[in-house]
Amino acid sequence: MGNLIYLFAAYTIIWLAALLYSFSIGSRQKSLEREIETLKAVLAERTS
Amino acid sequence: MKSYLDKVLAIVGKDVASELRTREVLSSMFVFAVLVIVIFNFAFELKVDNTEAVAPGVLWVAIAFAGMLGLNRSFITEKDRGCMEGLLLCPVDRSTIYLGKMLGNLLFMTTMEVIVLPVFAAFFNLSVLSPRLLLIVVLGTIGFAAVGTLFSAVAVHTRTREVMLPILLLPVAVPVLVAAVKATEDAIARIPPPTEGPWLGVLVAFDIIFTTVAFLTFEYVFQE
Amino acid sequence: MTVVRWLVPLAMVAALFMAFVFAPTEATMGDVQRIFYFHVPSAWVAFMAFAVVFVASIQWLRTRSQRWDALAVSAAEIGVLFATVALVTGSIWAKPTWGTWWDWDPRLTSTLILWLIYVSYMMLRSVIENPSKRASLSAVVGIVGFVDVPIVFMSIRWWRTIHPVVITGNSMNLDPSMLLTLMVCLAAFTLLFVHLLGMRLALEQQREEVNLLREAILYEE
Repeated sequence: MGNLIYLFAAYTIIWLAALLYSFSIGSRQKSLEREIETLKAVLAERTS
Repeated sequence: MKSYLDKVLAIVGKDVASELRTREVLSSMFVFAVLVIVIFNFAFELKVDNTEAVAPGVLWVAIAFAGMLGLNRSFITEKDRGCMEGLLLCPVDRSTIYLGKMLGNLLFMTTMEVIVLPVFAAFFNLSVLSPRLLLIVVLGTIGFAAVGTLFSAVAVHTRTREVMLPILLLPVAVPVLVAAVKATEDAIARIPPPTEGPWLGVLVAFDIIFTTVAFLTFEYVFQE
Repeated sequence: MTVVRWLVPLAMVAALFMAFVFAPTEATMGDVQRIFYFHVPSAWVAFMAFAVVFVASIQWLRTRSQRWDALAVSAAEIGVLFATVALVTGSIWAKPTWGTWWDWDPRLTSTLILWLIYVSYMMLRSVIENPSKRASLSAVVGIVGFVDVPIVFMSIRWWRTIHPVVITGNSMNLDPSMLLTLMVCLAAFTLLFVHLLGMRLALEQQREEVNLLREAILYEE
């Protein structure tokens, strides 16, 4: 039953990989959204 | 058709002529290959009894690494000397440039191999004059040069240039290296054709497939 | 896409249930064998991702539409992620099963080469600044890389079986319930892949929007 630690390690890695990647994309998306809003405001200002 | 061939040969001729003047690429390839063989001797503590097991691998590592020196030259020095624009301005199909460069690289690599093989034979005390072994070397070199020429053209557009070539080429060339080493092993051990592995077939298939793919995709490397 | 987003956690829970509760314990390897149910789908998803890179690369070269390049880079990144997972889980499985972290087993070795090819793809992208050059050059590499995949698998398989040095048998008799478990996990991972791909693609499109906005602002000056 000592082998279960390997099972645990493998599943942990899969979950961590999927979750961390999701979060990483999510946070990059949020910061890009902020940038888009800022840029849109600047553009609106310039064209008016 | 004939003029297509003429253009290809013209590119080969240009590279050969330029190399004949300085001979720097051929000599550095040759010296590098010999160095690799010597270093492996120290790395693996080669004794008389295990040389046959290690020899094929050492040969192909030497060919691969020395080959990449030559492959890098095919486009990087062109770009540095400003010849690239001239080549691209020629009213030729981009594929002629690919074939010309690939054949040039093939020529340089096989010339280097012709000089390295006897050295290799001497160091490992093996006979290399069998036509079978020479065929394997040529087939392997064709495969390596086919993809290598394409990737060398790709690498020249990057910030890191010559560093990118091994990173791109070596993983893709794994089948060539595996098949060439195994086939060389069979040839050295004189395993008769019926019982040998499928390695020659792999080499031929790789050569045909990748020369075709490289030929078709080369034009996109230089498009604006 | 929202449908996928809600299906993914359901599918993953189903997969977990199948892998841990439904599937029987394997006779020779014990419970460690259950890694198989997530290791194999990871490798499969990596392969699917690289197939997407192949198609997207061809389509970029044909249409020059930025969307195809966005798809290529997104699929490649996720493919490398899943290939890494496949390699690491395969290695974790190898240790208790064969006693060694790595043993050049044909499938793992081929997956390693696959991983190297697509890591080199990502590295290539990182050293080219011009966006359209970057797209074209990586498309060429994406095409060559994928064409190479079957040849790599076959030559490494032959390398291991024709000249055996140490053959570690990996045959597993698949119980029907094990097969079902594997199928469920495969489906769950495919859904996860589609979901992550969608997210990554949206990110890429956001970047493109930022670029376009920046260009528009410069134009106004």
